[in-house]
Amino acid sequence: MFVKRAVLFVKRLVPTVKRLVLIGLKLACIAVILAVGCGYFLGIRDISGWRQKIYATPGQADLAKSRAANDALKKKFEKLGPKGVYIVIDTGANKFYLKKGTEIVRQGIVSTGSGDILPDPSGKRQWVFDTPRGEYTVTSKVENPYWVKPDWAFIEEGEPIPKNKDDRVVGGELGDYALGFGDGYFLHGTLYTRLLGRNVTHGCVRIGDEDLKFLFKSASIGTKIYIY
Amino acid sequence: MRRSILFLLLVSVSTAATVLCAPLEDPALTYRQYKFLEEEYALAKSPGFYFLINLKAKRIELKSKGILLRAWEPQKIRFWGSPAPFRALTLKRKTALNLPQRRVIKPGEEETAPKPQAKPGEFELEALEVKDMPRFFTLELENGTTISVVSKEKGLKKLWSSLKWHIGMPLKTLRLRQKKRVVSLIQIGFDDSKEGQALYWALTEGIKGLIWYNYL
Repeated sequence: MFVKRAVLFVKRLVPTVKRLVLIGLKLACIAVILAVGCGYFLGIRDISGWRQKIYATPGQADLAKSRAANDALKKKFEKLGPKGVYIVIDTGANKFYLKKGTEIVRQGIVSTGSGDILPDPSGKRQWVFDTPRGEYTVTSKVENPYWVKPDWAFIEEGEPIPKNKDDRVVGGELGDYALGFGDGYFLHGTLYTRLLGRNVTHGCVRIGDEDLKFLFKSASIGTKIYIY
Repeated sequence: MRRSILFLLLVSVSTAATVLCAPLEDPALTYRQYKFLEEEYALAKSPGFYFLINLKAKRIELKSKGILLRAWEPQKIRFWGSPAPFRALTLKRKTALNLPQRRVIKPGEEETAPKPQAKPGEFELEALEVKDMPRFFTLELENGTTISVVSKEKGLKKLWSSLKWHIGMPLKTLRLRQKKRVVSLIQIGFDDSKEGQALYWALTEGIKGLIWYNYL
């Protein structure tokens, strides 16, 4: 008897619960729509409020002044850039561009820093093999360069660091030419031409023979290099 | 005769309408262009690189001394909320779910780089390259503006992204407004994920830049 009553009670309750759930869902949808609408209103108000604050509206008479100021500024920009050729190195795509103004004189592939970290076993220092980014200048030009191996080159191989400087000198590894741009970094040649286009170096920029020869002949001390 | 007069009248009215309705140069826009150039000039004079984001032209530029180094043309740029101020802003932080990891060389370990005779594509190089960069990441500017970069959104992902933008952003605005904070978000979308990855690679923390909201 009790069970029968309980079942009847639940059966009568279900439609009411269904109705309540539906009403709740409808109210929730309306609430969301209203909230989204308010959000949009606030968002648009943010933009128009900003516009009124920031956008001065000079009169027509000042138009000529603004135009003249624009032209003067554009001329100032032209004076900032390098005169003559300059080199751009894209370390992501591993490409170089020799440019003059906006014109690309020559382009090609390079190898740049691997990004690896080499810690000194003594724990006192570590090297990060990134090609440095920024604006640089060609500070030296060398033909038939030889490599004076730094400490990391020995540590990487697990070899002891020589005390004699002559034991660090290696010829034939850097190609026919090298262009230095400071802090021991160079644009130089490579034996590993098949690795051009990849990030494999210890920071220097490796370039193929023909491209390097062209760059060496075109650039001079003071030529700008932009690396990103 | 009547037809000729009607034809002449039509041509005159059209010409007059074209001339009269031709847009005059907007002094406000010219003035804004000047202010933007002024800010960019200040950036160009200082050492280092800077970036420019042009929302209407859908273009991002990396420059130095006024010279264009690299440009990206995303397929989608949209923004929400309070625009960034009209001055140079510093990129404070880059965040992503999977940040690229550098390899730590163990001194004396066998050389992992392939021999010079190996053909390209026949080896797996362990180095930090553009392809290791995240495809989805955010750039946080110093004033709180967030630039969210997404790549290769298709199908359900694209639908979810749209829902998050058109419903999620207004709700977020409402929620933050209660805490007296404003939302400022720019979303940049690339079809080619390599472009997004190249953008992550090129923009380093600490770089300054300008955002040109030139369609307001």
